[in-house]
Order: sequence, then structure tokens, then C-alpha cells
Amino acid sequence: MGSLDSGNDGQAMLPGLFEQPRLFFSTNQKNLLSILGSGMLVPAPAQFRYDNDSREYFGGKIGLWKNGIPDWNIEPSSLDLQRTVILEFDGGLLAPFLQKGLILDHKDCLVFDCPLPLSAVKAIYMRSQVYIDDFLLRLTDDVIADSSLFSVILDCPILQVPVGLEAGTEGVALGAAKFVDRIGGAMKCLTKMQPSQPYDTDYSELLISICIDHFGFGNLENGCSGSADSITSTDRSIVLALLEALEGIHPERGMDYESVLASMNDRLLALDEVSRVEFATWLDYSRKVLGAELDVPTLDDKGDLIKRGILLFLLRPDLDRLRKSVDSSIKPGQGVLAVATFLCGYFTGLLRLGSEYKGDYSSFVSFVEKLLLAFSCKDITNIESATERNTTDTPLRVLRVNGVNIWLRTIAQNETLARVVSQAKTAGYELDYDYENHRLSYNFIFPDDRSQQVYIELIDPLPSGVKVIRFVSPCQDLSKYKKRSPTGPKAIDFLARNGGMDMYSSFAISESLEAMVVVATQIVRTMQDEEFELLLNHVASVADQYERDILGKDAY
Amino acid sequence: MRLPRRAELSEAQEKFLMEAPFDSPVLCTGPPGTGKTVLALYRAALLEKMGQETDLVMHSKLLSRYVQRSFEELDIDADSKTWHSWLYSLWAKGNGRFRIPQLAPYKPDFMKACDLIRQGIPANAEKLYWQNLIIDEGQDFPPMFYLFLMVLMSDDSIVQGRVRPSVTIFADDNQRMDEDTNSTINQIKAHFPVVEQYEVKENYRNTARIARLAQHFFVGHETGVPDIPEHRPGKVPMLKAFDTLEGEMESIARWLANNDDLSAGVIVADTKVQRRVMDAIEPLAKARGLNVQMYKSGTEIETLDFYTGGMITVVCQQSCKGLEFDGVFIPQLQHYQHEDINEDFFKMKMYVMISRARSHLQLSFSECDAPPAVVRLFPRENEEVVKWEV
Repeated sequence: MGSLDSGNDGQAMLPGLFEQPRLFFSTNQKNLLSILGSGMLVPAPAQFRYDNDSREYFGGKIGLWKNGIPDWNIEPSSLDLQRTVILEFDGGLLAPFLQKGLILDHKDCLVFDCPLPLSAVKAIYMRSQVYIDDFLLRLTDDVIADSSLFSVILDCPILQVPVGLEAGTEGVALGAAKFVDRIGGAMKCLTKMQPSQPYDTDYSELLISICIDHFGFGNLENGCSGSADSITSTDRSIVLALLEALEGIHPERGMDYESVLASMNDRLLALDEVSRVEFATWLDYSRKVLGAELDVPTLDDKGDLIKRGILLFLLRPDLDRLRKSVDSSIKPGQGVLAVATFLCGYFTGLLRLGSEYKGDYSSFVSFVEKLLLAFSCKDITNIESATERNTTDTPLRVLRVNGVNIWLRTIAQNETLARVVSQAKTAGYELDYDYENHRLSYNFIFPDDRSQQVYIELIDPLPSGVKVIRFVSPCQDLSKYKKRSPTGPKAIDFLARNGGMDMYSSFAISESLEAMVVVATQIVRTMQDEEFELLLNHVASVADQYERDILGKDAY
Repeated sequence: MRLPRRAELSEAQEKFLMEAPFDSPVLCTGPPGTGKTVLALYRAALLEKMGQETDLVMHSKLLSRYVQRSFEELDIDADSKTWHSWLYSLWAKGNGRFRIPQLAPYKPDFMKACDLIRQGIPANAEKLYWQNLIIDEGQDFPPMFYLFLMVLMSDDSIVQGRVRPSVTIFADDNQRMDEDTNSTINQIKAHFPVVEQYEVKENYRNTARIARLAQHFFVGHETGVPDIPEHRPGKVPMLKAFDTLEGEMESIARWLANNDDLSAGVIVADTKVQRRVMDAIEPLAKARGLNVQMYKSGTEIETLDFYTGGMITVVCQQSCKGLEFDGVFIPQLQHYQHEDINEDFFKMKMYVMISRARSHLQLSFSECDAPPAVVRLFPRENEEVVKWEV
């Protein structure tokens, strides 16, 4: 055994440094940049800007040395001794990676062929404090580090490199590492660019689900709910073709939209005729816009959000540029922007994101660890999404893969509805906020013990932008009827009721509630407390009266 | 504006950023467009993080202005000056009204100045000290300037026990404008024998396809052009024919409107064409909410905006050196003459114009019965280098 040169800046010897079994990984400063940037240590072929380190002993796989480090003086000889870095892993945190990732357990080392989370690194050693300070000073914005992890290595046992170790065959490491980088990039970007206000159609979870399926981790028992039904099979095929086209492009190489569109076209030759025509029309149009033969349109949330989002991404495949598109003539809608953000984050990847996307070191490495636990340790069999509340009762949208919460987003209240909640409280009514559908509800209990549900929902603003709400109270279930519109005498009866002198609301059909309802609209800005109370009571009373008098029920 | 992230830097740039020492002279060499100015900005930012003061000095007033705006945008507390400004102001600090000896107006006599320092003439020698000096376009400075710096850095009456002043020099041997007043890399190194040298060679400004077309026109030593960034292919440059000048201008305005966070440079043959182009493009740009500015010799640099997206800058070819734009348009090719002049001279002009483009390049002509003669100098029917739509 030998020793590395000791730093002489007075750093105290770490107590009991090598008294217990510990796991060390030897590398250099250049590779450490990639490890910190990606939040994981990956087999050499999957690493950005790999520079020869101890992975050379095992054909690029990761060797963690027990209670010492390999002797640099034996092999490989091309190492930069001055910029040596030793990572110490917490063996306990690596337990989930043993089953699928461990390919060799030798008395001196463990060899992994899977990405290992940076969160399992409990110390980073360099030769002296001068080296540490200098390294930390020079870090670029996309490489985040926790300075408290760094310390000087003073006396480290040197292991003779075991001869003739066979590290086994190549596993699924590369695919998992690349996937975690790309899906992680998409998730972080969606989180960062999530608008403060909820919006109508959010394809974020659906796109993540398609992405997971695309990379072959699929075999999903259940897909994500929500907007899944609203995306056409052609759009799904287009998204998949784009993801495949992007797979082979390194972001730093820049994107040539022409080759991406050509690649998508090649992949979509097998579409059925109708879809093929739809795609060809979109392709021709997109080429003209991207080639500046046509003016770029306003990409608001009307029409096909998926195709609009893809066009926005192709126009602005860079995150900085995409963010600026909000203030441009493109004026993307929130749904379109979310599609483009997903694609841009997926294309950019986690490693290349700046600190404003990654967040602090602790949350970043924890995020990567969860992704690795979900995608690298197990075969994916289950993906689900749900709305839950955290310990502070804040509503969260949770995406869960194999039981691991890989993506959590706080759900904000719509500010107009929040204002109504506040006004209702002043008037003595506690409204419930439905975070799934972004609407309010209140359950009336009448003196005769009958109850009546009232919903308050936003409808499209007036042309001048004035916000309008609608009070809705259901009175007849229409879910079992194929034809929901009333006809003949029944329709005439409703019209007659709507024309009553004491009627301040009207009967209507609600597609979302699948029910006959009583509705009344109100401009929010000018709403007085008395008006709120009057309309709330009125729609409830009319709906309850209809249920009682005509149907003889109290279903709502 | 932000400093580039790691993946956006070339490996050579990353090596400089992570390894170049702060306590000894550093020299970074490379052809134009290899990102030396970006490294200068990064170095100034690192020195600020270390709590040190930095002056960034360069030869060109235009580039100095560009860098000063970059400092402001990046919130870096450093000064960018032309070398004359920096030198005369430093001398004045140490010598009061006693001006630096000159061979001619604005041509300092560095030998005499060094003698004066050695003789202890400066009244306030300690004020001739600086902490960090970063020199960009180092090849444009005379060799004696480096001798002068070395004398200042090593004179005890100036340093007075403080840390020796630091110097970082970015230079390119191939860009020397005047052999008498400019320095070679070897001349610079001769004055800093312990200098740490780094080299950046990869084209950082242009995409591979733009770089390849630029290289087609390059006449000179091979080392004068940066390595083609093969990993960053980009879009094939276009050579297009239009019926009218308005058609050419419409295509420029539409491209920028579709990319209104980017900048467009329109490079023209002469001031006459510049005026016609301005008249044609201004209403089209205005209709799309874009801005247009004109740059020619004598324009006050302070009035120019190279940072706001959606800006079209119309510039004459002789004034475009040192500028760069996301999209470059070279319209009205019929006004470029090459037959009565040295063809190599024309080619080098075309090289400079083309290499101003970061990601988009369109060359065009209009109102011609046949393609203008200069078009014959372009690579033909090779869509990998230039796409003909003539």
C-alpha cells in the first residue's frame, strides 16, 4: 500500500477514515464536472465528455473500491494525477441498485453497469484545499455542487489493482442513463416554466407517459389519465416520430429542422392514408414557416395543441429562446407552450440545464435519485397520476412510476376563482376548490334537510377581457341518456320556466356534469356580496325545486 | 445575455476556463471566431468572484463597446477600454500632468517610458499598479507595449510588496493588420517567458455549413481559419434570386419576424446600396414591429443596439469586421464587382462577410436578367455548402 501526496494546508485528518468498509471511486476533475452536472455517475460510454479514469479497468463500467483506491501508477497511465478526485459512496444508499446493476462483487471492488445517483456520494476528496477552492470557483452555471461535501484526502490506502477481473457483459445502463437525462430535462423544464395560473388543456403528463413508453420501459398497466383521450392517434405518432428523430441529436450540436422533419417523414410513411395526408399537410406548412416563406402564426391554445407545440419547438429549440417566445408575436398559449417546453427539455437533457432549472444541489440530486430508482432499478409496470396534498395541505399533482413519486407539481388556484372564494367567505360561505377541474362547489342544506350542490366555474371572458363566472346547480342526471337534449313538450316546459318573471337563471344542459342544470352568470369584478349570495341561493333553490316537484328526488 | 454553459463551450475552451492559472501570465491563441472574447468575459467574471479588479483592454473601439455592454448585461463589475484609453489613463495616475513620451500623436514611445520608470521618475509609481489586465486582440498591440507591461509588472516601486499584476492575453497571429505595429505570438511570449499558453481552434461563432462556405472564400494560410465545427452542422446557406429588391427585403423581414428574439445583419456593397436597402426595408420592418439601424464608418457606436432582438442592422461590407449576427443577409450581389479587382481581395471580403453569420445565411440578388458575375465564384450545385435557388 502507498499513499497519495498529502495536502499541507492544515486540514484535519478525518477520524477513522478507513476503519470500516467504505466504497471509493477514482476519477478526475473533468469527469467530476459531468457527474455533478448530470446528478449521476454513469458508465463511461454514457458520460458527456468522458476523460479516462478508473472506469478504464472495467471497459467503462463503474468500479467502486473497498477501503482504498487503485494504484494510479499501474494502469491506466494517462491519468492527470494533479486533478485526481475521489468520490466516497454511502453503500447503504446503493442497495436498490445491486440487483440490476451489480455485475461483479470482488473482495477489493464492486463493479456496476448502471447509473449511480450522486445523492449516494457522501464525500468528494481532492488533493488540497487550494484545488477544492479553485475547482468550485470555476464551475459553470450548469454544474452545481455542495461545497460541504468537499474535503482534502490526507492518507488513503492504495490497492493493488486486481488482475484479470472480468466485468461481465454490457447491460441496459446506457439506455437508462440517456433516458433519465432526457426525461429529467423535460420534467425540470415543465416545472420551471409552469405558469402560475392553471390552464385548460395540459398534455404534460400525457407526453411524459408517451415518452416512457417510447423508450421501451413500457409495458404500462395503466396510462396517465386527464387529456389522454383528446390527443389523436396521428398526433401520438407525430410525437413519437419526433422523439425518435431527436434521440440521435446532441443538443450542443444544434438542430437542423430540415433533417428533423425529413427524419419524421421517413418514420411516418406507414401511417394510414388519412393520417398521412394530415401529416403531409402539416409538414408542408411547417417547412414554409420554418423556412420563412410564410409568416409565423399566433400559436394560441386553439386548434391542435400538439402540432402547434411541435412547430413552436422547431422554431425555438433552445430554452432561452422558447422562454422569450411568450413576449413575441407568436404569443403561444399555455397548452402549446407546455408541449414545446416538454420537447425542448427532452431535447436539452438534464445535464445541460442551467441552475435555474436544476434548483439547489440537494433537490437536484434527490430528483435524479428518484428517476434512477424508478427507471434503472426495476422494470416499469405501473404509471399513475393523482392529485394529493402534501404535509402543508398544498395540493400536488403527482406522477408515480412503480410507486416512486417522480414528478410533483404544486397546483395553484385560479386567481379569479380564488377571489370568489375570498368573497364567499366574507359572505359566510365556505366554498371547496376542486383542483382537478378548477371549479368551486358548495353544498346547500335546506331547512327541510334536502341538499343541493352548486358549482361555480369560469367561462370565457367577455371580448374586453372581463372575467365571468357561472353558478351551476344540477337537477337531472342525463348520463344514461344517449340523446340529452329535451324535445317536444319537455323542451317547451323548460323554455316556459326560463321565461318566468321570478327566474334570474335558466335551465341548460351541462356536458361536463352530464346533467340538466340551472345556470346564472355574473361578472366577477362588479359582483357585490349580496349578488353572490342571491345567485348562489337562487340556482340552488330552482334546481332543488325542479328535482322535488318534477322528479320527486333529491339526487343532487 | 448569459455566459455559455459547459456543454456550449468547446473542450479547449473548457480546459482554459477550468485550468488557466490566475497567478501567472496566460496566453490564449486561436483564429477569429473561436470564442476568445467569451473566455475573456468568463475570466473577468471569475476574477470578480475572487473579489479582484479587472480591466479588459482591446484595440477596437467597436469591440470595446460590445464587451462593455456585455459586462453590463452580465452584471460583471469590470471595465472595458480601448488600449489607448487604458494606457494614457494609467500613465496619468502615476505621472500626473507629465504625459507619456510619444513618437507621434497617439503613438507612445514605450522605450522612453520604460527608461523613465527604471529611473524612478513617476511621482506616484504605486498608482501604475493594476490587479488584473485582460487583453483581447493582443496581436494588434505593438511588441513594445508588452515590454512596457513587463517592466511595470516587475518594478518594485510600482508593485510595493503587493501581488504581482496579472496579465491574460488573447491573440491571433493570423489577424495582424500591420507587421510593424502588431505583435506575433512569439514576440508576446518573448516578454512573458513563463506564460501558460492555451489554444482554441474550433469555430465557435458559425455553424459548420456557414464555416465551410466561408472557408471556400478564404485566401491565406490554413491556420488563419478555425476548425470546422462538424458536430454543429446547422442549416445550408441559401443563394437566391428575387424579382425585386422589395422581394429580397421581404424575405429578410419575414425571417426576423419569425425569429424576433434574434438579430439580423444586412451587409451591402456600398453606401449607395445601403441607402436603397434602408428605404426598402424600413416600412416592411415597421409593419412587423421590427427595428432597423444603419451602421457605417463614423456612426457613433454608443447609438447602436446589438442586443435587442428583432433588430436589423444594415452595414456596408467594409465596416462589418468585428460584428456578428444570428442571421446574415447579403443582398444585391449584382453590386459587388470582382472582375476589375484582385479576385483574392474580393474573396477575402466575402469570407469576412459570410463569417459574420452565427446560424442563418442568405445571399441574394434581384432585378437581374442573369445571375451576376460574382455568383460564379460560389461553389456550384453542391447543396451541402450552398443551396442554389437561382
